[in-house]
Amino acid sequence: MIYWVFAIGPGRANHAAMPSSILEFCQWLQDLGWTTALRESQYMFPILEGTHLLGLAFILGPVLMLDLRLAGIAWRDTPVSKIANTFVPYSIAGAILMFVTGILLFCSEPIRCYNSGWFRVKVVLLIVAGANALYFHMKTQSTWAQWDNLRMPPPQARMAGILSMVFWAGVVFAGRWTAYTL
Amino acid sequence: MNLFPIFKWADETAIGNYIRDRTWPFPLIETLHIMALAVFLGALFLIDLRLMGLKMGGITAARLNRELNRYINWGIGIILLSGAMLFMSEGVKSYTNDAFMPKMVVLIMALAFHYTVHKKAVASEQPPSWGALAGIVSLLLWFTVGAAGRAIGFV
Repeated sequence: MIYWVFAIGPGRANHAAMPSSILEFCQWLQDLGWTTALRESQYMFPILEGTHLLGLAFILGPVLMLDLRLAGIAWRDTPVSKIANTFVPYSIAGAILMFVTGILLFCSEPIRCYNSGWFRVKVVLLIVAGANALYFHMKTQSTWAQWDNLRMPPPQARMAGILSMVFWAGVVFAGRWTAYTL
Repeated sequence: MNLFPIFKWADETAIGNYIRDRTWPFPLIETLHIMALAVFLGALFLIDLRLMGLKMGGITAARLNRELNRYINWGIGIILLSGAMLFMSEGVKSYTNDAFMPKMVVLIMALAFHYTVHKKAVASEQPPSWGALAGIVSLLLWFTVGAAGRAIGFV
């Protein structure tokens, strides 16, 4: 995966790089009628991109609540479980919005995305952010009962919160730079 | 009233020239602008949804506001500062952009609303009868600012 990211390098387009089944898939997707229509549309593309941008607030607002609580920065007087139960459902709704608009944006420019190093960085960071959340959910959260009410959660939980914020900031950064370099 | 001299002045500032003449500052500042948007709008939209009547485990809008106020204010501070820098780098271009002035008008309305009516709506644990309306208006105003902002890059 590391090779896949840096084979081209952020920001540089190289059409000769690595012909593969992924590239063929992107070419196939690019040539479909509806993706072509999307790419050439006057209003659909800006609306999708605008929704994807403003949707950031919908996904990251709730994510930030739990991250800040885990890091011991905000909501210290409220049990961690209460913050998680209250806000995570909203972040899932936000994630669905971002996923749908993001996939459609990708469909409108598959070849350019394939050739974009920043897009690859973004995909990897998304996977890493997801893995971090999953690890927290599967491992760290199992000891939840012992530190639910602590103002400052244990190091492992704090790390999960801080890493999550770092990874998401990276996703936003790489996402914006994908658009700059397409 | 001819506002062009202001746009021209902004365009000719040292900051404007510095950003315009280089490749990296503009995208970096704009990325910061968007990150601040994610934090501030993310926090604010939760408060607005709560005002509109979503339960959120019984956490009141006033409580949300106490906890999130500083992020919202810092976010607004960073977004205004970075926005001003972006504006200076393309002052004259902004003057002819059809989306720029609408964004500024709605932005001023949103800021005024936020620090007066919205502030009052989240002041006490018992939200006022017009709390839900304040939440909807706040969301609409800020999303209009965001949409108009995005439109600057498209029109």
